[in-house]
Amino acid sequence: MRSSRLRAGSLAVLAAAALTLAGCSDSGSSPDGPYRIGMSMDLSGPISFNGKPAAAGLKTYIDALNKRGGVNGKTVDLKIVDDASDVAKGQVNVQQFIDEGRIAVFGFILTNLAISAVPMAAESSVPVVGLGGPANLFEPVQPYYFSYELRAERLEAAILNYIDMVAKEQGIDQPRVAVFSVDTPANRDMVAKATEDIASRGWILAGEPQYMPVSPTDVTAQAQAIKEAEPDFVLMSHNDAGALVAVKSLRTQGVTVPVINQWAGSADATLEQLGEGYVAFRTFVSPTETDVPALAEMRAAAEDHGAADQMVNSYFTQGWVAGLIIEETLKACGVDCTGQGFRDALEGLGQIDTKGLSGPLTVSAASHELVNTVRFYTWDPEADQAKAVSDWVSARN
Amino acid sequence: MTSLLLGAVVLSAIYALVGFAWVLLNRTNGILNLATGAQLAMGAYIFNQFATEWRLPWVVTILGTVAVIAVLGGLTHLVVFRKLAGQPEFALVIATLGLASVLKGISRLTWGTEARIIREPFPDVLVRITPDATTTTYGLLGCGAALVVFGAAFAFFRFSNLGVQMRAAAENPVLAAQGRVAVDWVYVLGWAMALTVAAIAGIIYSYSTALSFHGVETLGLRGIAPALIGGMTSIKGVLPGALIVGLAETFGVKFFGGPAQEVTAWLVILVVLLIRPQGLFGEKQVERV
Amino acid sequence: MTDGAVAGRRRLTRPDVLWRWGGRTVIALAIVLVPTVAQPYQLSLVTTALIASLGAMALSLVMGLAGLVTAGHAALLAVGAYGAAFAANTLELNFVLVLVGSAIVGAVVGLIVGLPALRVSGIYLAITTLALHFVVVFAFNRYQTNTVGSAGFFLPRPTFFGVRMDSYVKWYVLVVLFVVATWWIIENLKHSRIGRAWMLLRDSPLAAATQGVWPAAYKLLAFVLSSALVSVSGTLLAYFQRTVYIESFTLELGIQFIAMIIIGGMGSTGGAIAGAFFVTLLPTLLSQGIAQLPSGGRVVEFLQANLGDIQLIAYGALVVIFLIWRPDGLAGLVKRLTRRSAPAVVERSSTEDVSIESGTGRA
Repeated sequence: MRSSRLRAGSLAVLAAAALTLAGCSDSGSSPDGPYRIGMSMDLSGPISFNGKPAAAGLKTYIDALNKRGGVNGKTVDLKIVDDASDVAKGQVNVQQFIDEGRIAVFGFILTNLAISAVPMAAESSVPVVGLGGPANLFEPVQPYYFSYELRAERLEAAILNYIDMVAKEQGIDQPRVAVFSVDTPANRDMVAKATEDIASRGWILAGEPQYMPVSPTDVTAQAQAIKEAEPDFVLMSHNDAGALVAVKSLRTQGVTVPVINQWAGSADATLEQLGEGYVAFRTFVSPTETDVPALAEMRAAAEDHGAADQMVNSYFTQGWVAGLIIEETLKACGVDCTGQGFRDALEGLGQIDTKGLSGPLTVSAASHELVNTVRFYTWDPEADQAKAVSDWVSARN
Repeated sequence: MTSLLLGAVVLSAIYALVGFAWVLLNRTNGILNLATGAQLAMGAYIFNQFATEWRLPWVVTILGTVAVIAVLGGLTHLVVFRKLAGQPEFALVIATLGLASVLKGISRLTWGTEARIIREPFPDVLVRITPDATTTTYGLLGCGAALVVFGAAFAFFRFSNLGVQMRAAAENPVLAAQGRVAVDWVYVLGWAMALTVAAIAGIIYSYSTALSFHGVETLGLRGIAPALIGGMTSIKGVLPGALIVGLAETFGVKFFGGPAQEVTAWLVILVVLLIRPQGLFGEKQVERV
Repeated sequence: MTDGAVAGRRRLTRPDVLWRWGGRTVIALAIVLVPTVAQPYQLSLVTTALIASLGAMALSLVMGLAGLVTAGHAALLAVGAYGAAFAANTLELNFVLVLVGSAIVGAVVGLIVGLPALRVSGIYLAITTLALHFVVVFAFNRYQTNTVGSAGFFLPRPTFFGVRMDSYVKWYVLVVLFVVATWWIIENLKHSRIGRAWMLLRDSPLAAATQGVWPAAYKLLAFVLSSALVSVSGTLLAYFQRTVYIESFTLELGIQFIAMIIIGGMGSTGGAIAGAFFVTLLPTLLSQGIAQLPSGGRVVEFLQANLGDIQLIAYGALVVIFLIWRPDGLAGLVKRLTRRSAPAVVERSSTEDVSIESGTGRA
C-alpha cells in the first residue's frame, strides 16, 4: 500500500517536473526581435464575461497592427494569459512576463491582482497598465503603475457632475440625492466619498446610503427607505443584474425619479429593460453604438481577425483602446524599447485621442489615471437602441 | 409594517417551494442534494429559453419546460445515482456537488453569465391589498404557486396510490420492492417532482428579480434553511420553516441593513443546528449505527 | 473487508523493496532537480501547487479516511489567511508563531463547528460547513471593509527561524518541507489505531460500533485535525502571495479540492498531492498551450473563449465519473498498472484491494 502510494506520489512529482520543463519558454529578448507585451486577464474566472472581450479587443488591435507592418518596423508579440482573477495566478503571470523580457504588462480586472503585481514589476522596471485600483496605487503616483480604466472611487464624482447638469436644467437648487450601492469594500469607499462630495456641493443626502448584496434577492426594505427619503435623484452603483432588481423594486415602491448608475450597469439590455428614467455611464463606447465613426475600423478588424463574436460589450472597446495606447507609446519609445523606456514614453504622451471611442485620455507625471471622463446613456425606444444623453463628462470634482 | 410583513410572506412562499425540493429528495431518494441551487437555476434558464428566446406560446412553454425537466430528472437518477447505489451517503453528496458544477458550466457555456429578464405573461405591477400593504403581481403568483404545490403534494402523498408507494419506498426500499413497488421509477419520479418544484421557485424568483445563475443558485442553497427548520424529512414542516426564514430575512434587512440578507438564512441554520438539529417535525436523528 | 483493520504486515519481497526505495529516490531527485531547471514563475507555480497539496491532504483525511463531506474549505482558508493578516499587522507576531496560532485557531473552529454537527450525523456537517462558509466570508468581508477597504491586507516578508523568505527557491524549500512533514504525519496516522478506526467508520459504521469505536469522537478528531491543516495552508498562502482579499474565498474552491481528492484517489495521501498538482497546474498549462497555438481554427477559439466553463464541467464530470467507476482515483490506477510488474502487495487496508481483486466497483 505504501509503496503504491509512493508510486503515485512519485509519478505526480515527475509529471509536475516534466510539465514545468515542458512549459519552459524562451526567455530574454533580442534587440532585433518584436516588441514583447504581456496581458494577464480573467478568461475563466468570475469576471470572465468582461475579461474575455477585454482580451479579445486588445488582441484584435495588435493583430491588425501587425498586419499593417507593426510599429517602427517591428511587430508586437502579445501574450495573453489567464489569471482567473486569482492573485496567485496573476503573480505567476507577471513573473513569467518578466522572465520572458516583456516590456509592459496590461490587464488585471480585479485590482487586487494589480496591487500584488506592481511591487514585483517595479523591481524589474516593467510598467503595469491596469484597470483602476484603490487610492494607494494612485496617491502618491506610482511610477510603474498606470490605469486605463476609471477608478471605482471616481464614479461618484462622474454621477454627481451629471446630476449637477440635469439639476441646473430642471431648476433644482439643492438636489436631494439618495445613494443605493452594492456592498463591496471598493463601493463602501466610494459611498464615503460620495457622502462627502454631496455635502461639499451644498446638496442634501436623502436618507442613509442603502446597500444591497452582490446578488440581491429582495430589496423592498431599502427601496422603501429611499422612498421615504424623497430624493430628486438616486445615485446607484451595481452591475446589470443588481440594477435590474434594484430599479424594479424602486419603481414598484413608487420611486419615479431618475436613477443614475455606473458602467457595470450600462449594458444595452439593461438600458432597454429599465427604460426611461434610468441612465448609466460608459467609459468606453459600446460596439453597438451607431454615432461613433471610429467603431467602423474596430468592427472591420474584428471581422477580419475572427473576433466578432467576442465583440459583445464596452470591454472589447477598452481592449482595442489599450492596443491604441500601446501603439502610441511604442512610436514614442523608439526601436530599442525597454520597460523603463515604455514607462517614460507612456508618461510623456500627454493626451491620447481615441477618436471618440472614449473621452480624451490624459497622462502626465502628476497623474497616471488615463481615463477621466465618462458619457451617460439611456434607452431610446424610438430608435430601439441606446443613446447618449451627455457629452464626455468629467469624473473629477 | 404591514408591507414588511407582506413582503416576508411573499419571500416565504419562494423559500417554501425551494425547501420542498430539498425535503422531497431527502425523503424519497435519501439524498442531500447540494445541486438543488444549480437545478433551480437550470430550470429557470430552460423556461427562459422556451419563453423568451423562442417566444413559444405559454402552454407550450410550460409543458415543454416540465417535460425537459422530467427527462433531466430521470437521467440524473438513471445515469448517476442508480450507479452510486450502495455507496456511503457522503459519496452521494459529493456526487451532487459534481453535478452542480457540471450544470453551472453547461449553463454558462450555453447562455453566458449576463443577467436576463424573462418574457412576462403579465406585467409586474404594484398590487395594493390594504392601504399600507403592497406587493407585486409576481409576489402574489409566488404565494399562489406555493399553495397549489403544497396542496397538491398533500393530496398526492395521502390519497393517491403512487403517493403512498413513494412513501413506502422512502421508508423501506427493500420491503417496498418486495411489495411490488417499482422503486427505480419511484426515484425517477422523486427527481422529476423535486426538479419541477425547484424550477417553479427559480422562475418566479427570476420574475421578481432577474435571471442569473449565481443569484438563483444562492437562493437555492439558502433554501436548506426552511427544510432544516421543518425537519429534513418533513414536507409540512417546510411551511413554518419558510415563514421563519422569510420573516428573519425581511426584518434582518430592516434592522441591520441590506448586507444582512446574505447571512440571515445561514445564521438561522446554525442556530437550528445548535438547539434542535432535527427541526420542528423531524425524527430525532440517532447516530446511524 | 475489514481484515485490513485486523491483519498485520506481510513479509516484504525483493521487488517490493526495489519499488519502495526506487520510488523514493525518484521523488527525492525530482524535488531537488525542480528548482534548478525551472524558471522563477514555474517555481512559483509549483510552490502554489504544493501549498494546495496541504489542503488536499487535509481533505483526504476528512473525506477519504473518515468519510465526511465538508464545504468549509474556503472558510477555513480565510480563517488562516485573515488570521495571518491580523497577527502579522496588528499583533506583529513573527511567522512561526502565526503558523502555530493558525493551526490552533483552525482546530478550534473545527471543534466549534464539528461538535454540534457530528453529534447528529455526518451529513449535517455538510450543511453546517456550508453555513459556516457564508457566515465566515460575510464576517471577514465586514472586517476587511472596516479596516483596509478594497485593497485587502498586505503581509510583510516573513522570516522562518532566521531565514528571510525573499526568494522563490526559499519558499519552495519551506513548502516542500511542510508537505513532506504533513505526508509523514498523515501516513503514520493512517496506519495507527486512529486511522484504522476512521476507515472502519467510513466503511462499516455497524462494525465500528461493535468494536467499541465511538463514531462522533473519531469523526470530530478527523475534522479538527484537517481544519487545523487547512488553516495553516491558508496562512502559508497569505504570506506567499503577500496579500489577502475577500474575493478569493469562493464556494467553487471547495469543489476544486474535492476534485483533487477524487481524481487523486480518496484515502491516498500521495494521491491527494497528485490530484492537487493536476487541478492546480492543468488550467495554467492548458491556457499557456492555447496561447501558443496559432489563432484561427474553430476548436481552438472555442476552447480559448470558454476555458473556465469547460473547467467547471470537467471537474464536476470527473468527480461523478470517478465516484462511479474509480473511487480510488489515479492512485488506484497506478496501483493497478504497477501490480502487473510487482505482484506482491505490502499491506492491505479496507476495501481498496477488494474492489481491485474482484474487478468491479464498489457495491
